[in-house]
Amino acid sequence: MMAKESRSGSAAPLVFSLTGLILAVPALLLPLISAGKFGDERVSLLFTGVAYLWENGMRLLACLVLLCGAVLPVALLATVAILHAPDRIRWHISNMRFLSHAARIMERWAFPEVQVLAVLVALMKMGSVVDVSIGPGFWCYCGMALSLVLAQRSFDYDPYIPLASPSAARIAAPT
Amino acid sequence: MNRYFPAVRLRSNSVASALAVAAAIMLVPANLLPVLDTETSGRNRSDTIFSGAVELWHHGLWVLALIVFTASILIPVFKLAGLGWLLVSAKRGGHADSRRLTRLYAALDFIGRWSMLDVFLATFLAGLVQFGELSTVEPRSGIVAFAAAVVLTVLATQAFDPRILWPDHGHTPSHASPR
Repeated sequence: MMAKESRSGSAAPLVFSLTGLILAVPALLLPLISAGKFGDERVSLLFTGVAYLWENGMRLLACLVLLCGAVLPVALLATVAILHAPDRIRWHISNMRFLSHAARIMERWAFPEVQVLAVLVALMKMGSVVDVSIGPGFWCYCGMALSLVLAQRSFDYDPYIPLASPSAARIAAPT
Repeated sequence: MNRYFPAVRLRSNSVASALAVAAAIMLVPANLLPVLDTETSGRNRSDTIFSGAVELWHHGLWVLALIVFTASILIPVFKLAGLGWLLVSAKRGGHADSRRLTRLYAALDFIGRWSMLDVFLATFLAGLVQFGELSTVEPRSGIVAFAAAVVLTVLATQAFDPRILWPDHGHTPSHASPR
């Protein structure tokens, strides 16, 4: 089972997750959207909305958005990359099981594709109110979200999780 | 039959039920309280989730209105109804529809995340549209209640153990056995 390859090949999850991690850097740092009205221009990074919520007292909501939209997707990409790293740099098998469990949990709370849809909806909604333009950070974020989806689809959790565990049964549920 | 499973069934059912009820309660303020206040050129407007979708519809953005309505109203309701059905089925112990119910569980597990759309949308708009007196967007308490409802439904789905839907709990569906 450990040697089992995914549909896209054994290196696919590693490639997709590393691609996602590389794209995550500009996605987090570059402007997502620029909006202007009567000469006044505002640039929105991924964290702009989160910072606004935090400053206005909605701190739990800010943490939730930050976790689901940025922290967990990046952490999940890193976890998948570690799980598929070459043998010589991988951890002990017990840690791998822990990481696999962690990846399974993170997968349920990492929603970058929903964030992408939300930004697209916001773009169309704001179009009539302000002048909007898409920044490079948004394309990088889309690429990161796509890489994460592809990494998840080609990632085989099973080798690291004992079959008797509840997580294994959940994973085995048909989709 | 695994002796472990009666306890799992009880715990899984009770925790999932409690979380689902809490989510249903949170959906009430989430849908009644305003989620966004918008001020454009001196005109104030306060929107609930439903009125926001209706406004999009009136502006001719039908696709967006349908997306927002589906993600923010239909999916949470469908998810809670589906979860309720799963819990009742598990309690009755009828396993005739195990395969179908497990598929329903997988579907509920998948669609739940899309309810976060409105939360991300409100956060994004609030961060970007701050043009002083020209145009501002402010998130309101309804969005906090809605986010809580979404989190609770996701937790309820996670707490539910789909194995209790099967007659022999130790076995998973043959076609879905580990690859």
